[in-house]
Amino acid sequence: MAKLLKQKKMEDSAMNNRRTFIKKTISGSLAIGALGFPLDAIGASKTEKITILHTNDVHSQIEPFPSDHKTFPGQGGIAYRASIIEKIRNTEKNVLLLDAGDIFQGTPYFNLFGGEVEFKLMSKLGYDVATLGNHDFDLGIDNLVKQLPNALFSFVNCNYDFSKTALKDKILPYKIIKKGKLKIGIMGVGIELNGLVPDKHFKGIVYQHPIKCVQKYADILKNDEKCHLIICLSHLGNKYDDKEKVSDEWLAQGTRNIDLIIGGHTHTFLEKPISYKNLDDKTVIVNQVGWAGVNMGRIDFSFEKKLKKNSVFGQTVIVDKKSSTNEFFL
Amino acid sequence: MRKAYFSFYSIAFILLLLGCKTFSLSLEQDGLINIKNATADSTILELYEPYKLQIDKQMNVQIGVLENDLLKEKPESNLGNLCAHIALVQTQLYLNSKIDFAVLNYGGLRVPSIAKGNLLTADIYKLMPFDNSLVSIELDGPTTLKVIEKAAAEGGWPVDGIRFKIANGLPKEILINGEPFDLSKNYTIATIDYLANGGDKMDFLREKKQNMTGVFFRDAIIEYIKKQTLNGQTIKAEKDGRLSNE
Repeated sequence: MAKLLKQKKMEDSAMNNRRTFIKKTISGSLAIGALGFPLDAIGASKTEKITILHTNDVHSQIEPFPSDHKTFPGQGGIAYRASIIEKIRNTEKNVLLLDAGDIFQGTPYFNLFGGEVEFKLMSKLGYDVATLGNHDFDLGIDNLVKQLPNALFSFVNCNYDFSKTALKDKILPYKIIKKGKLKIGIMGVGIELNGLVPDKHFKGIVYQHPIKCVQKYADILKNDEKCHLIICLSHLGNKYDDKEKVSDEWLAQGTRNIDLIIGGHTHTFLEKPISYKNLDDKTVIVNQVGWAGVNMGRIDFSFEKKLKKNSVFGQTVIVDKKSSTNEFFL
Repeated sequence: MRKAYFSFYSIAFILLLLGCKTFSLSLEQDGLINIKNATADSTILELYEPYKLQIDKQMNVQIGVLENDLLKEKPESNLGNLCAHIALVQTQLYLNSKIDFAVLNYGGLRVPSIAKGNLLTADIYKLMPFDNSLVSIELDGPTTLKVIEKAAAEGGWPVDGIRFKIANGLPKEILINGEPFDLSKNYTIATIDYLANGGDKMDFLREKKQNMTGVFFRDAIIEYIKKQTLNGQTIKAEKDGRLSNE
C-alpha cells in the first residue's frame, strides 16, 4: 500500500503541462473495442485513458456487513475495497479515486471517534477528492475542521459560502488534477442543509443555488483552465418526484461543460450510469453506487489525439469477499 | 456535421450491441478489472484494529433480552411503538413533567428490524446512530394538529399516547390519552430535537420553546432497556391498532 502511494506521488510529480491536442466527444473507439481489439492496441502514444473509481454515502461503514446481514451479507468493507483499488492501480496508469459525500455517520466508528477513522483510512486508500454531504456536518463545523488534518485529500464544494465560518479556505470550489497528459477539473456541489442538519451545526454557511454555481465553475474549468475532463461530485440526490428540488437529473440537463456527475445522498443503486444530454446536446454521464461502500463505481474515459473522440465505459464493482459483477454499458 | 456524428453514433451503437459481450470479456482478460477473490488489505485492517477493539469492547455488551422480533412498518409497527414509548417515558422522567404524547419520524429509525434474542449496545447504535436528543415542546391546539397531520401524511409515524385513523393521508378520530383531541387545549409532546428544530419539513416547530433533556435518544433507549433488565423484565412490543388506515 505504501509503495502504491509512493508510486502515485511520483506519477503526480511527473505530470507535464505540455499542451496536447487531446479533445473529446463521446463514443468512438468504443466501436473498436466492440470488435474485440483491446483499447491499448491503438498505441499508448496516441491514447490516454483515465479510470475513475468512486464511492458515495459510505456512512462510516469501515467493516464489511456481517455475514448474516439481511440485505448485504458479507459485503462492503474498506479493507476489501483497498485491495480492489490496488489491483486496478497496478494495471491502470491514470486512476482517480473520488467520493460524493456522507462519509460520516452510521456506525460506532463515527459515534466514538468523530470521523477520524474514516478520513485516515480514505487517505491511506489514496482518495484524491471528495465533496461534503449533509451528514458530514452531524457533529458540526468545528468537528469537521478538527478532522480535516486527517484527510490527505481535497474537499470541494462550490455552492456553500464558507467565508464566515472556520471552514473558510479549507474547502475549495474545485480542484485540478493532472494525470498523464490529461487535465481533470473536479468540482463539488451540496444539498441545502436547512432542515437536514441542526442549525447550530452549519451556522454561517450560506447555501447558494447549485445550478448557477456549478455552471460558473464548469465554465472556468472549461474555458480558463482548459480541462480535458470536467467532473462534478454532487450530494444533491439522483432525482426527485418534486421537480422543484434540484437533483443530478436537473444538473445534468440544465448545464453545459460537465462530462461526469458522481452523485450521492439518495443512496441510489444504479445498475448502470445514466446518460443525459446537456444544454449543448452533449452527453453527461451520471452515476451513483448506493451506499455503505457495498459497491464501487468505475468509469473509464479514453482520449485520442487528432481523432478527437473518446470512449467511455463504466461499471459497478461489488465489494464482496468472494465475487464480483462487472457490467458494461454505453 | 451533427448528422455525421449522429450516424456515427448509430453505427457505434449497433457495433456495441453486437459486440457487447466480447468487449466486456476482452476487458476482463486485459486485466482492467479483476476483483474476483478479493482479499482484505492487511495494512488497512491493522490500521483500524485498535479502533475496532475499543468499539467492540463497548458495543458487544448485552443490555437485555428481546422477546419478539421487532419490525419497522407503516402505519404502525411494534418497533415504532417501543421507540415512541421509550421517548415518552424517558422524557417524562428526565424533565419530571407530564407528556401527553410522543412522536418520532419513521426515517429516524435506521434498521428495518431487530431479531429476538440478546440485545447488545451495538443493536441500539444501529437503530439510532444519530446524536439526536430528547426534548419536550408545549404546543397550542392548532400546532399540535399540524404535528398529527404530518404523522398521518407520512403514512404513520411512530407515536405513543395517541391514537388516530388515517383517511386519505388525513388524521381522524384522534384520541390523546383516551380523550378526543381538543383544538382549544395545549399539549406537551416528546420528540427528538431534529424534528423540534424543523427537520423533515416540520418548519412550524422551529420557533417553539424546547425543554431539553440533554440526553441522546440512543442513550435513553439503552438506559430504559438496562433498567428493565435490572427489574428482571424482558423487552417486548406489540401493535395495538393505535394507527390504522381507513
